[in-house]
Amino acid sequence: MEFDNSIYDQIEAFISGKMSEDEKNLFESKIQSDKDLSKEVDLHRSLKHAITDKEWHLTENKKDNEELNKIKNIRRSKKYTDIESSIQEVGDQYFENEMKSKRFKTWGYYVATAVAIACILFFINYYSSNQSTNTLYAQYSNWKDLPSLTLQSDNQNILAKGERLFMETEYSEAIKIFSQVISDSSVQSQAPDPYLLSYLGASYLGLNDYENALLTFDQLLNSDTIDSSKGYWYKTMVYLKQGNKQKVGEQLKLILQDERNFNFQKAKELCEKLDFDQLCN
Amino acid sequence: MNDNTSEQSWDRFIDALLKNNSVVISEIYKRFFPKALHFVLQNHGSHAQAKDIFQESLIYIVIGVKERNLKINNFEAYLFTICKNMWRREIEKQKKRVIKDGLHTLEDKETDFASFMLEQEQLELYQEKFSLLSDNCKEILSLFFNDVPYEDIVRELSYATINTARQRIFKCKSKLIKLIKSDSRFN
Repeated sequence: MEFDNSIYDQIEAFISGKMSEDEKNLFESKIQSDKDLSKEVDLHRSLKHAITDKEWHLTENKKDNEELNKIKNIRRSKKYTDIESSIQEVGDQYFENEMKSKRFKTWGYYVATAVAIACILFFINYYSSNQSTNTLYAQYSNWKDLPSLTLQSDNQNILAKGERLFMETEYSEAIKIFSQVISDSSVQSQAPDPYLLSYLGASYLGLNDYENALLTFDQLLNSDTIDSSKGYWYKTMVYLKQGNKQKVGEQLKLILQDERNFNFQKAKELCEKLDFDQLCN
Repeated sequence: MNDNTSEQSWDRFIDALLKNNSVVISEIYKRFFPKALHFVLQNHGSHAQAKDIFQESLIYIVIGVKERNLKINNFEAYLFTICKNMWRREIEKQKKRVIKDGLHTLEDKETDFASFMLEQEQLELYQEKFSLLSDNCKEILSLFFNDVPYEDIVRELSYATINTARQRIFKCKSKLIKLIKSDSRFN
């Protein structure tokens, strides 16, 4: 069946929703009574989706469609349900192994962090004496040991780039990237990743932007994750770098309230070195 | 459509699926599942949904090749296309459900599979016929199907008037539809 230009125009207007309510109703009743036209509209709609690769056009398959039933029966046959079972079995194994290796990775990462902290503690014990806040900052801040971001997310490339910039002390560039990723995740109403916040705060601190560093670490404190107590320690580092001994004391006091807080032991040492004797015990 | 070398490589995977060769099937998961997972997750799906889509796509390919005369050049690319289209269809179904269209709800798995297969086969037919058109037709129809306004099409392809562009689109579209309709696979 051939259709002329004006029908094509109508079909196009109908598909793209450019008809008025009246035109639309009229055209719809036309489609209902004219099988060829209905098929033609379906074809135009499918064509659009086939060429643009965007959405999917569901065709209305009738129950008695021979081809449909033929495929259904093939799909139901023993030959293919057996294949389905074997695909699923191998899949179950694959997914189980995936889970295991993921757990192993996370576990390995915790061990690595623990080892890093142990090394630092050792280092610090070795060199302890009463020092100025500045040298203490140099000694206690270990930003280079922030856990790597690239294990944790899909946006590996961008995070890896941010991490690299941070390591190369290109803090302004790093801040741009971390802020972007954080605001992207908040669009999807996800809480910002605590590690990302750590990097972002550390980058601000690298620029001596104490105010933003503190704001970021406050966000970390409010993040309701197991890592949130890191916020206290990082804020301690900010004040230490700033040379604000009194504020350092306040933060240390918060850390020492709970043994489970991040770097509890280190906080205790730092406390002693700064001669906050009352506070430390 | 196939040369011998590429035929061999996809044959290995199809063969493994037909003969329950778990080593090669496991290789299929390792090599190709992450990409499908990524696509589904990016498009508001879950891991479990990605798994279903992936497994159903593998069955699609086996049935296609064995029962429906399907020819594949590149197993990986084709598998990913099927995963993508199955997921697109799923999204479309969800949308329809929201606007209470009883037609597409509550279909059993096999009906769903068969409907998809018929739609996918038609889609491949359309794309194949589209590729046969002249470059000029392909260009102008691509713009047209992507909802580029006539004014912009006129400017981009240097037509004299909107009307000449319109006529050209009509001609190309008619040609395409004629090609499609004259194929025995069209239904």
